Amino acid sequence: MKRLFTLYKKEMLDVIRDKKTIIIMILVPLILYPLMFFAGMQIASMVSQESAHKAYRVSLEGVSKEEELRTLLTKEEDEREYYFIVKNTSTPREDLEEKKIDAYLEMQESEGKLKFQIYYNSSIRDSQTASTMLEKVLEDYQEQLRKEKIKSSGLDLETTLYPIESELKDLSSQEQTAGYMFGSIIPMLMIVSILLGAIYPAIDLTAGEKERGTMETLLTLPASSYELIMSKLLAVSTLAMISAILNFLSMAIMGFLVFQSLLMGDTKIEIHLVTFLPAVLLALLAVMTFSLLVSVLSILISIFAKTFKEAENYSTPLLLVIMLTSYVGFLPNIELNTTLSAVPVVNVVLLIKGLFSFQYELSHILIVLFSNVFYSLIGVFLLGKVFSSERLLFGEEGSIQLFENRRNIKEGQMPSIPDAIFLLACCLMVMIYLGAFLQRKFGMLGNSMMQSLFVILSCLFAWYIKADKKKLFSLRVPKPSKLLGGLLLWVGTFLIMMLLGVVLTKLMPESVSEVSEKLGQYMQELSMAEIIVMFAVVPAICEETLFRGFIFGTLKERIKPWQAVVLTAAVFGLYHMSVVRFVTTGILGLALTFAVYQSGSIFVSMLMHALNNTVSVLTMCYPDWFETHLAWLIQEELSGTEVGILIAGAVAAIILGVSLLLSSFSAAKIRRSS
Amino acid sequence: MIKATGLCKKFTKTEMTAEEGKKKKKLQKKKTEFYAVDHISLEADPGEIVGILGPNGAGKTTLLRILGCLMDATEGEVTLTDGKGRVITDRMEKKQKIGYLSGNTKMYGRLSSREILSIFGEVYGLSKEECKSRIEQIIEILDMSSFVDNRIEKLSTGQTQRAAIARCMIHQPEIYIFDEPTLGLDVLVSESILEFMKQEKEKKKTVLYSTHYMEEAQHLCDRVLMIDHGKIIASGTPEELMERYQVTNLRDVFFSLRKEQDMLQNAEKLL
Repeated sequence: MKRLFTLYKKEMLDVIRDKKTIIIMILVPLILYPLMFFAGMQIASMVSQESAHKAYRVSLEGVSKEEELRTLLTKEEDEREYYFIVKNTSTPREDLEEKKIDAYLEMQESEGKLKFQIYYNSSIRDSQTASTMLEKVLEDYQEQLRKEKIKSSGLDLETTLYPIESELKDLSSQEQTAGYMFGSIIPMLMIVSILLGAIYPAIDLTAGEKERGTMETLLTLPASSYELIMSKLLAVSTLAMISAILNFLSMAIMGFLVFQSLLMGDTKIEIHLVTFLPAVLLALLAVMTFSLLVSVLSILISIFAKTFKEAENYSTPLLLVIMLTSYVGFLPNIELNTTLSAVPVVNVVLLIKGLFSFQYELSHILIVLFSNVFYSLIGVFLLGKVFSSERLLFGEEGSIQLFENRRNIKEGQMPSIPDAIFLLACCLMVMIYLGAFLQRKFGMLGNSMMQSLFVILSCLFAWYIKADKKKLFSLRVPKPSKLLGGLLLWVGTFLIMMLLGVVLTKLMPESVSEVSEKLGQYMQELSMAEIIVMFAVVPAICEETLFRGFIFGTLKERIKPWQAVVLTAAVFGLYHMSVVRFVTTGILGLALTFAVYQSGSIFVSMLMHALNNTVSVLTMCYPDWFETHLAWLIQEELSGTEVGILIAGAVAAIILGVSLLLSSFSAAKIRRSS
Repeated sequence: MIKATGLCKKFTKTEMTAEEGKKKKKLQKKKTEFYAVDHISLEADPGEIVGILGPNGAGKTTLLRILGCLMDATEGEVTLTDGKGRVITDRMEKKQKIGYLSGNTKMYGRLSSREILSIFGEVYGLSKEECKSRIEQIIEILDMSSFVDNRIEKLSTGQTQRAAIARCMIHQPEIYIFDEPTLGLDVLVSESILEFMKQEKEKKKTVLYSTHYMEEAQHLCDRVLMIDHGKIIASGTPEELMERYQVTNLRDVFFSLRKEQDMLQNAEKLL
C-alpha cells in the first residue's frame, strides 16, 4: 500500500510538471469557456438587434381594397418590431429576384372570398421573415373583417368569435425550465473536458514513458505490474477529477451569471440557486465514477502505442465516440431509465440532465454509479493483463490501419480487429443519430437510406485500406449444394426462432408488438412490393455486407473461426437493440454467419436473410391467409404435439443444412489444395 | 551469488513475405519463432565481475533483462543466493537484491535527481530517514551535490549518467546488472562507470556486465562469456581464452571463434 502511494506520488509529480497537462486542465475551463460564453452572448445580442425594427419592402398586386391593407401594413406598433414599406412596381417577380423588394402579395376575389398569395424567396433570410410577417398581417386583416361582419349582423362579438377560451398552465417551476436548458449543454461540455483531462496524462504516463525510455527503469523496481498500473490509473483519474471539478465550477459561475442576466431582463423568473445544490453534489459523485472509467479507457488505449503521437491517434476514436454519444443530452424525450442507467456515457449525461430539472430516482443514480464502477473494474482487470504482457512493454503490436497514410498501405491486406471495431462504431453512430433523423424525415425510406450507408461505409473502409475485397466480403458465386444447405439451415432456424418468439412474447409481452405496430402503419401507406424491398431486400443486402462481409471477414482472419462466428452473431444480435430480439436475431446471426463461413459466399446469407424477412413481413401483412393455410405459423397457442413436430422438423432441417454446407466445404477444400 | 540454469527466451517474429500466386502477387504474414536466448546457464559469485560479450543482436539485452527480472524466461530459471546462503526465488525479493542499469533505462526528465532517489528508495522499502541519509551518502560518493536538485532534463550527459548510477545503487543491492552502460558515452564518463564497478567488486558485490567493447572487458572482467545467436560460444577468464586461441586480445578470440563456428557449419552442410 505504501509502495503504491509512493509510486502514485511519482506519477503525479511527473505528469503535473508537464506543461501540456496544466494548460488543458486549468486554462481551458478557466479561460476558454468564459470567453466562448461571452462571445456567444455578444453574437446573440447582435443578431437580435439586427432583426429589431427592420423595414421590409413589399408590393401589392391586384389588391382591390389596397388602402385598407396598406394602412395595416404600414402601421407601426410598439409590440410589432417591424413595419412594411409598400413599393409600387410593375415587375414584382424580377424585383424580388434583384432584391429590390422582399416579398409581394397577389390577390384574387372569388365567391365572396379573398384569396391571397404571398410570393417570397425562402433562400433569402429577409424575404423569409417578410413572408411570415405578411402572413401575420393577413391574419390580423382576417380578424378585422370577421369582426366587421359580426358587428353588422348584430351578433355578440365575444361569444360568437371566441366561444372557447383556453390557457396553458406550465406547472414546472422556473428552476426546472432553466435546469432543463442547462442540463442539455453542461453534460456534454463536462464530458469532453474530463476526457481531455484524462487522455493527455494517460498518454504521457504510458506511451510517453515508453517513448522516453523510462518504462524500463520503472520495471526494475520491486513492484508488481498491478501496482505500477494502478498508480498510473490513480494519477490519471485524480487529474481527470480535478479537471472535472474545475470545469464544473467554471460552468457553475457562468450559469450563475446567466441567471443574473435573466433576472435583470425579466422579473418573472424566480430562481433559488440553493435548491440546485443537492443536484450538483450528486452530479459530482456521478462524474467522479465516470472520470474513473474514462481514465481506465484512455490508459487502456494509449498503452498499445509506442509513441505519444501514435497514442494520440489511437485515442481519437474514443474521443469521437464519447463526444457523439454525449449529444444524447440534446435529444428531447429521452430520460434515464433502468436500461439506460447501465449504458456508459449516456447514463452520466442523462443523469446530470435529469438532476438539473429535478427528475431523478435514487435507484437509477445507484445503477449509474455501480455500472461505472463495474466497467472500470473490468477495465482495470484488462489493464493488468495487458500491462504484464512483455510484447506491449518492449515490442511491437498491431495498429489501426485507418490511421496510416493510404500510400503506405500495402495492397491486398486484411483489416485488423481495431479497424472492424472502428467501422462498427461509425455505423452505430450513423444508425443512432443520422438514422433517427432520416427516419423522422423520410419514414421507412430513411431507414433504407441509413442502411445503404452501411454498405457505403464498409466499401469506403475496404477501399482505403486496400483490402482484398473478394476475400473480405466473401464475394463468390455459391455452389448449388451450398445454397440448398443454407436454405435448409434457414428453414430450421426460422422454426426455432418462431418457437422462441412465442415463448419470449409470453415472458415479455409489450416489447414485441412495437415492430408489428410500426409495420401496420407503413402497410397502409406503401404497396406490398415496396414493403418487401424496404423490409427484406435492402436490410438483407446492407446488413449482410456489414456483418457477414466486413466484420466476419476481418474476424475470421484474426481469431479462431468458431469464435469469429459466435462474435459476429452476438454483434448482430446487439445491433437490433432489444432484449427480446437479441436472442432470436442472435440465433439467426449464428446461422447466417455459419452459412457464409462454410459456403465462402455472402450471397447465401443474403438470400437467407431476405427470405427470413420476407416471410416475417408476409405473416404480418396477410394474417388471414396464413390463418387458413398455415395456421401453426402464426398461432400463439400450440399444442404439445405441434411443438414436437415443429422441433423435429427444425432439427431435421438444421442437420440436413449443416451437413450439406460441411460436405460442400470439404469438396471445395480438396479442389483448392489441388 | 546469481545462478541461471537453462535459460531460454522464445520470440515470434512476423514477417510479410510475397508469394507468387497464379496471377497476382499475394502478401502473406509469416510467423516464425526463434530463440533470442538459447539454453544459457551461468553463475556469478560475489567479488567477481562477469562480462557478457557479443555482437549486436546476440541476445545480451534479453539475457540481462531476464536475469534482472524485467522479463520472464520461456524456459529455465534464475536463482539468487544471499550472503547467508539463503536461496531466493520470489520475483519481488530478487528485484530487491538487484541493481539494474542499461542504456535503455532512462531517467525522468521532469524530476530532479533527489526526487527520483527518494521515490525509488521508498519503493525499495527504505524508511524516510534511511532514505535521506542514504541519499546524502550517495551524493558524496558520486559527487552530485552541485546538480542534485536540478531537473534531469537540464543536466549534462555525464551528470545524467551519474544520476542513473545513483538510482541503481540506492537500495544497496548485492548484485549489479549493467547492460552496455558505456554505450555512446565519452572516455571520461565511461571511465567513471568502470571505476564504480571496480569499487563495488571490492565491496564483494556481484557484477554482471554486457558490452561489445572487447578491450574494456579484457581489462575489467574476471570471467567472460561470449555469446552469439543466443548461445554461449566460449567462457573462461580473459587470459585463458587468449591462451586457448593464441592471440593477444579478446577481439581476436571472438573472430577465431566465429571462424571456428563457420567451419563447423560448413562441415555439417557437407556431411
